[in-house]
Amino acid sequence: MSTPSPSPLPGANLLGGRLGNIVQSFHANALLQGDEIDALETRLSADGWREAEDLARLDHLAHKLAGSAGSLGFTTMGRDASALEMIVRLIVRRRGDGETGLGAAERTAQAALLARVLVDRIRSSRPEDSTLDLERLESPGSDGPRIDPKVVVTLGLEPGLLADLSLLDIILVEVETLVDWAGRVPLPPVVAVIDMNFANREPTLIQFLRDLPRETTILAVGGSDTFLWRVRAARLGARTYLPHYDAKDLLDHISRIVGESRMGPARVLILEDDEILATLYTAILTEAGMEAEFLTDPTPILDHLSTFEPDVLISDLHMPGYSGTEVAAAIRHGGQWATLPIVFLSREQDLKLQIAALASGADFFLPKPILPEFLVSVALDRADRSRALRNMTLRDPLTHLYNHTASLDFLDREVTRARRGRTPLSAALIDLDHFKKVNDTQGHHTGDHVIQTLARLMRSRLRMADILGRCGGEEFLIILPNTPMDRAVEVIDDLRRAFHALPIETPNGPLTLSFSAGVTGLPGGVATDEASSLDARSLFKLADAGLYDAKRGGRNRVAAKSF
Amino acid sequence: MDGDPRQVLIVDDDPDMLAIAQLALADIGGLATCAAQTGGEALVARATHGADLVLMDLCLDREEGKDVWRALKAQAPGPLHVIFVTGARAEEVSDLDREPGFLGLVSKPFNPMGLAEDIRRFWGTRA
Repeated sequence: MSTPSPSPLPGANLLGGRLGNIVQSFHANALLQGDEIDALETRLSADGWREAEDLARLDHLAHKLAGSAGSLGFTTMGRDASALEMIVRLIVRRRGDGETGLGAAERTAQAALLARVLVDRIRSSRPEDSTLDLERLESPGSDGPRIDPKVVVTLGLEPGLLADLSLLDIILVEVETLVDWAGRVPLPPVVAVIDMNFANREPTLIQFLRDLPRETTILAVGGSDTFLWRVRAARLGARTYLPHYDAKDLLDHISRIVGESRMGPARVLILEDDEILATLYTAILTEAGMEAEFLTDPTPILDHLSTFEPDVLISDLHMPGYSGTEVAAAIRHGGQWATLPIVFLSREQDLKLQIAALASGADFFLPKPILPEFLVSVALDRADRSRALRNMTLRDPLTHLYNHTASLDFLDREVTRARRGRTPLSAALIDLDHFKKVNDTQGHHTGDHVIQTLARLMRSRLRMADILGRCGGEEFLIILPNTPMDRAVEVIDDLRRAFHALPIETPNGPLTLSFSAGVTGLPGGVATDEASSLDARSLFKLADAGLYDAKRGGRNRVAAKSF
Repeated sequence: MDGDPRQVLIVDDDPDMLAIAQLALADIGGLATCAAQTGGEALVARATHGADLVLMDLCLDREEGKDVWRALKAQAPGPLHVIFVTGARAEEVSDLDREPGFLGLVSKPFNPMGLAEDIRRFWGTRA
């Protein structure tokens, strides 16, 4: 979304004309190829997808389109062709191995659907849909939508409302108009905050927001809390609507969304006994920018869940030896995965099975054969919500740092990781000095403010890779991956000095406070058996012993406790 | 530019892909190019224009890109290098790096805006 400037590239108009011709020619040829794919699909479906020559021709056409459509700015057409190419190729290969059987009908139904999807896509496309644009020197959409995870844009909001943003590691851009937006925001932001009163004045806003990648979360504010206003906000694509709000509400919501966005691409686990279909689904989701893995046998699924940590499970309802319902129940038994969304793939005839699956906690049914777009949008949607929920349960509401349980889980994981990679790891336990006195004399409100101030300072002075947790009350756990203990002591001591130098504003005037800290560490490159006695719990105990030393030594200091 | 290939021969059976690749390399990238749709045309083009780099689509209509490349390499006096263009899934790539004159792989779909840059980078790695 760069500013349209008169001529960013010498001869762009001339080139643009030539590009237009190439796109026109591609489009005309694609229509012819679409007709041929249509005819091939009809013939193949009539004879059970057996005719080798037709299969080879379909493979060739799909292969060619998969390459050319994407290069010419028809990304979705390219992806559809790529999915068709993949399944046709797999079917041909499996035929070569002499394999037939029950799964074969499901695969050919899937192949036929993909061929029809591609034909429809070609026929409904227009040359002007190409995203190739020389004037703007943008790359075609094949790279997928990109957003800037640090940028938050507000539209029509009172300026300065979000002045206190040091809590979050983000860049705020306040804009007044859509033109202003296009000029000042190079990449789509992670969050767009829209004032509903502004939205009412700007009729083109809906289209504008629709063109943003789906990774951008829209937050609507203002207006009034009625059904009508809520519907209006929904039409803008808002995930959250806050009719009445203040700066603190907004910061809370923004920090939650930013936290989710830093969790990387959505992870999807697929459980499907047919390897060809499993491979296809995985490829479709991967091409849409997700991390996807598949299992063809449910037996190792519990181990797989804990190593891959998916946001959503997509499972076949029908598997040899187990029903999807049984697998769902087995997963739900373990408390850790009780809220994992499970989407079942099923044929329409499986109505009885579907009802049973609902009882075991199915979240959605995807009909087989699967429409690629449907698969992608259901997976993304469930993953988003599952992340939002998980993020909420992992965080302490006052500071948005990780809560006690989550911090200890992270410590566990980092210890395992450090031992495996033989990298150093440090942990620090921080406790505010004389905090009880603050609470008793100044009230809880000031106490909360102190806690939030320290959390904010920690965020601004520590690295993104460091894991910050609040272990309840005035105690904090900081995990510093890849950091030897002596370095961690320096970092925490800097933080201590900065906190002590920071006057904290209260209704009764500024306060100067301090904290004590215990630091411990696991050296890098230790022999496995030597380090194996050291787990997260003993690391935590060492840090706690260090904290005790620091308190006994007179407070406002950092004490190291080596392993 | 100094150090660029003298001429890039683009081989693809799809005329639209040829056109977009030429636009990307010549008009946007400023490289000298010529084009061929079949192995036969490629041999003629190479003999006529003296290309020193070939951008070779692996999957031609009724021909294997690898075979065409071998024929070109056998015909040619003088140094000749190749960059292969593969499908997105790149199933056919095994052992391509053992082909004589191999410089690299470009996968389809490619970004026309960055293709010339990729080609120059590969060209810079030749022994």
